[in-house]
Amino acid sequence: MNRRKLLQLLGAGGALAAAGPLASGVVAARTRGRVVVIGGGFGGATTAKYLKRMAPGLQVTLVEPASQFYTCPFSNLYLGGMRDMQYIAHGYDELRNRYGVEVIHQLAEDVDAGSHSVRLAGGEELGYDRLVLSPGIDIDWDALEGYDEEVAQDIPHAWKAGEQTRILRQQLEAMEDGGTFILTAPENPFRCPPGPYERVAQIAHYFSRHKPRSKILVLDAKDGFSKQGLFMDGWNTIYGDMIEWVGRSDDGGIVRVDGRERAVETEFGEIHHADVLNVVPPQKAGFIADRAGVTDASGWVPVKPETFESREVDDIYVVGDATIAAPMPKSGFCANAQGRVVAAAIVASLEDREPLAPAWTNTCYSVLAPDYAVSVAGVYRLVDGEIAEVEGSGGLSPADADADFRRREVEYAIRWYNAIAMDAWGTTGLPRALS
Amino acid sequence: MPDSWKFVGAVLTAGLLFTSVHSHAGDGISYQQASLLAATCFACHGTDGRMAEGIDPLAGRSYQALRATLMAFRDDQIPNATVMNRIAAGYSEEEIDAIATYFSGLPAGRE
Ligand SMILES: Cc1cc2nc3c(=O)[nH]c(=O)nc-3n(C[C@H](O)[C@H](O)[C@H](O)COP(=O)(O)OP(=O)(O)OC[C@H]3O[C@@H](n4cnc5c(N)ncnc54)[C@H](O)[C@@H]3O)c2cc1C
Ligand code: HEC
Repeated sequence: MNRRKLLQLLGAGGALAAAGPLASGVVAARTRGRVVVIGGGFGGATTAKYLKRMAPGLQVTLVEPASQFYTCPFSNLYLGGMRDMQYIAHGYDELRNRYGVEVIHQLAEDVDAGSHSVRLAGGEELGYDRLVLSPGIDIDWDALEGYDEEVAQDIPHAWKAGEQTRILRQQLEAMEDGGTFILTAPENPFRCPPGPYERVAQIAHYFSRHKPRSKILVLDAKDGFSKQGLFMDGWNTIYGDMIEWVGRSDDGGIVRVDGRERAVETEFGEIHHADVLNVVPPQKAGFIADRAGVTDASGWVPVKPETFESREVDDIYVVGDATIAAPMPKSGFCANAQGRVVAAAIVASLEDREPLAPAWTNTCYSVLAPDYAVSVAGVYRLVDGEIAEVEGSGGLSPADADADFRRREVEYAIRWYNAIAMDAWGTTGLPRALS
Repeated sequence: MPDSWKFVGAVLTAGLLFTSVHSHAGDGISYQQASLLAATCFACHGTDGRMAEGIDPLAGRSYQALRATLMAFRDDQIPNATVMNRIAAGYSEEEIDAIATYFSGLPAGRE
C-alpha cells in the first residue's frame, strides 16, 4: 500500500491530523450532512471539534458571537488575583484551521425546526440536518425584584465571565479596608453548584492580603450547598472568621435588590447593605433554546438521556448547562463530556446506526487559596434509560486530607484547566513554552 | 520519512494492535465504544491522553502497566491518590481493559 492509498483510507489528507481515537474511520469519512452548532463555549466547541474528528466529511458550522471566549472556570481565580484575565480567554483558530469548522461570529436569533433552519442576527439563514444548541445560561431577569440588566452594571452577577467579572474585580479593588462584601446565592438548579463558595474563598484570599479587616457575607437561598463541609473547613482553616454563611432557614433567601442603596432585602424583611454586592441570580437556558421550542416550564431543556436529543423536537441536540441532566451538575466538565457523546450520537444517526452507550465523568475542582483546593467527582452511565451515578464511585476529597493533598489538588486543578481548554479550543490560555 | 507518514503508520498500527489485543480480551466492547470510554479521560489527561501541560500523559503506555495501575486505583491501592481512585471506581474491569488497550495503541507524544 502506498502513502496515497493510506491517506485515502483514512479519509483525505486534510483530515489526517484529526484522525484519532474518536475517529470512526472509513465509513465516517464519507458521512455527509450539515450540522450547525450554536454556542462556542465548553459544550459547543467540544461538539464541533469531535464531529469533525469523527466524520471529517461533515459540514460543521459553529455560531458564536464572541471572537474571544472567557471561561467561567478560573474566573474566580482572577477575582482572587491568582490568574490574569487574558489567560482565561480562548479563540477559535484551532477549530477553524485544524478541524475545518466554519466559525461565524454572530448571534443566532431564531430557529425554525420545521424548515430545519437557523436565522442569524445579520438576517442570514443556515439550513441544517442536525442542530446542536449549547447556549449556556441566561439570567432570568424576571425572577428577582429590582435586578435587571441595568442594575447588573453596578451590582454584577459575574456568572458569565468577561466584562461582568471585570466590574466585580474593579469594585473589590476600589473598596476600603474594613468593608463588607455580600454574595447572594440562588436556589438549585444553577450553573456551577460550588461556584459561589469558591468565589468567596478567592475574594477572602484577596482581602486577606490587601484588606484584612473586611468581611464577607453569603446570603443563600438554600440550606445546604455543594462540598459544604469541605468549604466550611477550608474557609475556617485559611481565613478564620472572615466568611459568614447564612442559609435559607436563617433568613438567607433574598427577595429584592435595591440598586440605588446597593442593598438586598431578605424573605423576612431584613435589609443588608454592602460595599460590594454580587448577586448570583436565578437562571434558565439560553434564549435560543426557547426559540427552538425545546425548553419546558422550568426554563431548562429536557433531553433523551442516551443521545441528548431534545425530547420535544427531532434533530435538535442540546448540550451543557441548558439541559436537565441531573445528577450531572451544570459544569464545564460535564458540557465537555456531553459534547463528545452528542457528536458520536449525531454521527451514528447520520449513518443510521444505533448510538454508542454513553459514558460521562465530572470533576469540579474548587481552588480556595494558592495551596488549597478540594474536588467532587462523579462517573455517570445510563441505568434503565436514566442518567445515574455509578454506585461506589465519585464523591468528595477526603475531609481529613493533609496540607500536601490540598496543595496537590491545586496543581491538578491547573492541569485540568489546561487539558480541558486545550481539548475544547486548542489553547491552554497561557503562553506555551516552545518545545 | 515525513512526519505525517509516521503518524499514519502509527494510527494504523494502533488500530491493528487494538483489534488483536481486543479479541484476546473477549469482552465485546467495540473499538468505537472503547474510544468513547477513553474519551472520558481527555478532560484531565488531554485530547487522546497526550498533553504536556495536562495530568500525566496516557497515550503509548504499555497495556499491562495501564491496566494494572487503573485496577489498583479502582481498588484504592495507590497511596496518596487525590482523585483517580474515585474515578476508576466507576469503571468495570472490562471497561478498564478496553481503555488500557485503547491508550496503549495510540502513539505517544505531545500535543
Ligand atoms: C464562577 C464560575 C466558576 C465555574 N467554575 C467551573 C469549574 O471550575 N469547573 C467546571 O467544570 N465548570 C465551572 N463552571 C461552570 C461552567 O462555566 C459551565 O458549566 C459551562 O460554561 C457550560 O458550558 P455551556 O457550553 O453549556 O455554556 P457556555 O460555556 O456558557 O457557552 C455558551 C456559549 O453560547 C453562546 N451563545 C448563547 N446564545 C447564543 C446564540 N443565540 N447564538 C450564538 N451563540 C450563543 C455564548 O456566547 C457562549 O459563548 C463555573 C461557572 C461559574 C459561573
Ligand atoms: C479529574 C481529572 C482526571 C480524570 C477525569 C482522569 N484522571 Fe487519571 N489522573 C488524575 C490525577 C490527578 C492523577 C494523579 C493521581 C491522583 O492524584 O489521583 C491521575 C493519574 C492517572 C494515572 C497514573 C499516571 C502515572 O503516571 O502514575 C493513570 C494511568 C490515569 N490517571 C488514567 C486515567 C484514565 C484511563 C482515565 C479515564 C478513565 C483518567 N485517568 C481520568 C486525574 C484525572
